[in-house]
Amino acid sequence: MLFNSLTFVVFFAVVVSAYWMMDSWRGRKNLLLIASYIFYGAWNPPFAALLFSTTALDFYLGRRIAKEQRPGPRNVWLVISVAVNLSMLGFFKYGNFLLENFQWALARGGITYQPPHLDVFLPIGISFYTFHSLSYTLDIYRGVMQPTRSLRDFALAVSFFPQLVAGPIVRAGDFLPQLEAPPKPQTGRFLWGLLLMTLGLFEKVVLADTMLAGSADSVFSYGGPLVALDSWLGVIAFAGQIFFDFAGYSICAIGAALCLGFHLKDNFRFPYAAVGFSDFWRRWHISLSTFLRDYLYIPLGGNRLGAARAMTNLIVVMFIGGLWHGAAWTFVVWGLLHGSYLAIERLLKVFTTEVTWAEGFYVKILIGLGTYALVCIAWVFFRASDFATASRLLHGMFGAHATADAILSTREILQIGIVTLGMFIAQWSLRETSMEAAVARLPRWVVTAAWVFMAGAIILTQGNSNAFIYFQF
Amino acid sequence: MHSSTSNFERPIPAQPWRGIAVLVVIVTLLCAIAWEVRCRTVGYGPTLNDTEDLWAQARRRLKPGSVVIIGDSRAWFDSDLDELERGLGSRPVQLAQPGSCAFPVLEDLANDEAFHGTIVCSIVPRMFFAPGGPLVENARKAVKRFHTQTLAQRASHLLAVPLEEHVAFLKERDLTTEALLKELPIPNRPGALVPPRTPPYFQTVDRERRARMTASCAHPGRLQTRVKMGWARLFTPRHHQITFRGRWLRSVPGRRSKRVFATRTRP
Repeated sequence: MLFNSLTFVVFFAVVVSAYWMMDSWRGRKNLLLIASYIFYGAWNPPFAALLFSTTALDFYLGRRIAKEQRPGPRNVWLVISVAVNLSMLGFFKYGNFLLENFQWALARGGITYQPPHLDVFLPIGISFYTFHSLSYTLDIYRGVMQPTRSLRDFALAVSFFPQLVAGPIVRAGDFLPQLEAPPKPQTGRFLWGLLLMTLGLFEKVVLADTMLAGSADSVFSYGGPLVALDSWLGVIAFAGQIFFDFAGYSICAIGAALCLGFHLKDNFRFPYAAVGFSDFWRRWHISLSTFLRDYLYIPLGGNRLGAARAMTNLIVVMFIGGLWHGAAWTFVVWGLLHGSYLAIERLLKVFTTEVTWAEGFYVKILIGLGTYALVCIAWVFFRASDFATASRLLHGMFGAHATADAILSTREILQIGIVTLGMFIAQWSLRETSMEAAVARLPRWVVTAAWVFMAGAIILTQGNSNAFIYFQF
Repeated sequence: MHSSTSNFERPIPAQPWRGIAVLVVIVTLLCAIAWEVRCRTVGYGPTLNDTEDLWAQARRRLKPGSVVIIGDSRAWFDSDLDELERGLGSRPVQLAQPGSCAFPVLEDLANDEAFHGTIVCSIVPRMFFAPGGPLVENARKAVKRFHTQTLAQRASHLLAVPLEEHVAFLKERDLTTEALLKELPIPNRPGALVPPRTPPYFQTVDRERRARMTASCAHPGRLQTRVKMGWARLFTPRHHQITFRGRWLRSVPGRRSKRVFATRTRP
């Protein structure tokens, strides 16, 4: 079920109304659990069973890990949890990718092997809910939390519909405590949640799908060489599209959860106003970057074992982060590029610890623009369907084609320019604060006008119910 | 007992939210009503959008012995289902799609082992034999939607149909933000390979996917001229083909056997 669909509007209205009319906290939790499984099952009912099996297994393993005092068996239970979760992810998401690469490797050795194509559907949101569930056993193993006694509560933590299919990756440790006592109804919280949902849908439906997606699609699907302007604009359009698409989903999820009295953390914090790559990853897909930091980077040694090891760890973590996004080598290159950016930045910091001029406002802007440009270059690999397309586009961006075509209309160029400029102004002016603090300072008529504008634009853009990009991850 | 690792609570900005929300609902509703009135004033009326979901719904109506019309805009606009029903004895299912290649649909029907009905296929060679691209993709997307349509997509479609039948500004093709932006008279760079603008609204669609030309387009006037000129770059006038098809339609009622008709039109 998509947030930007009529089904969700009706579904959400029914669930929220029934939820706040119920007195029993148990009844409300049962309702949310059933609603979450309907939300998921409306896409493909059999995969709801897969979701439940992952949940039930981690619930059981979490209890075993907590009960076991001996390190050996504790490790075994954890390995089972990690192995089962990742195997499921591997089978559904990477099965064909692994087979194709196996075939390629054999062919290099002169062996012809024709693997069967696994005709499997990728369960929507599997990358997200696997991590939701996995965080539970990992946190119990790390001693960060105790297991819950209620399978219902844990199942709700994993499947809570606002964040089920495209994040944020809400850890069980952040959600389960909120299931201990019922939230009290608050008009302000509820209406702020609705405003966030409107903002999220506006970002997705109007800015991502209507203003930017068409240009990005045209440029990335064009088979011939492109002039530098069109190549850059196509990539900039995609940079904006993926931000508004994914941040829009996250804001919708946060808003929907608030309407039900739950608090989810920010997943984006004005990432295109980042100064440097470590700053970028503190602002982009925060729930994934903190997940990888806590469960992968730190266990690998983090930065405790020297600069060289820290740089290696960064590249390894970003390699896995790239692969998490999709079963293709283009995603791996995207991850490796970011890993390299982070490693080089770390190296530069070693030599520039005493530098004070880098703190100046204009220098920060310059570094920020450099960060954005390099992030855009990495997006080429993320969006391109293959390396030939990525190469053709990169050649175009740096004017390497002798003859090239211009394919974007002036209207599309203006749309990309206006939206990107507006995005920069908004993100740079808010980078040191939060949206809540900014809204609290605004006059009420500005808040009203902005809300009306966004709601009106969504109504005017109806029918454009494209799936969120991150659904496929 | 849960071990709380997080007591996170989002701040709520201090604003008079109740008053703001009431004002937002009222102003948004007034704006929507004003826009609806404006759309109707310039000649738009409620119509269904010819989406992949509507196509899938029509495809589901197909019975093993149905007569089915496939092809491009010619078959879509020129087939009168009432007339065909009178002549053929059963009501055809309209599966033709404007601006599409019929081949993926033909292939899908051929692969449907339960289907043994009659296929009426309109063929424009450059469309039917298109090697790929949007012409083929349009049809493939519709076929794919039929085979993979989720419960949520079906429910959204069922909710959208009554809304679209009553609200004029829900016309996707002409009145969405994207369509309105495309109408802005902004000149393009010299030499830019920008597709020509397609003409605006000139048909309504119903639940059977019957396309009917609107009155403002059926009669000579500004809209009709714009529509004609808009397509002139891509297609030559087809008066002789309309005559041909008219003859063909008249000959259909006398037939009883199932056969496939291919209507050939010149590009």
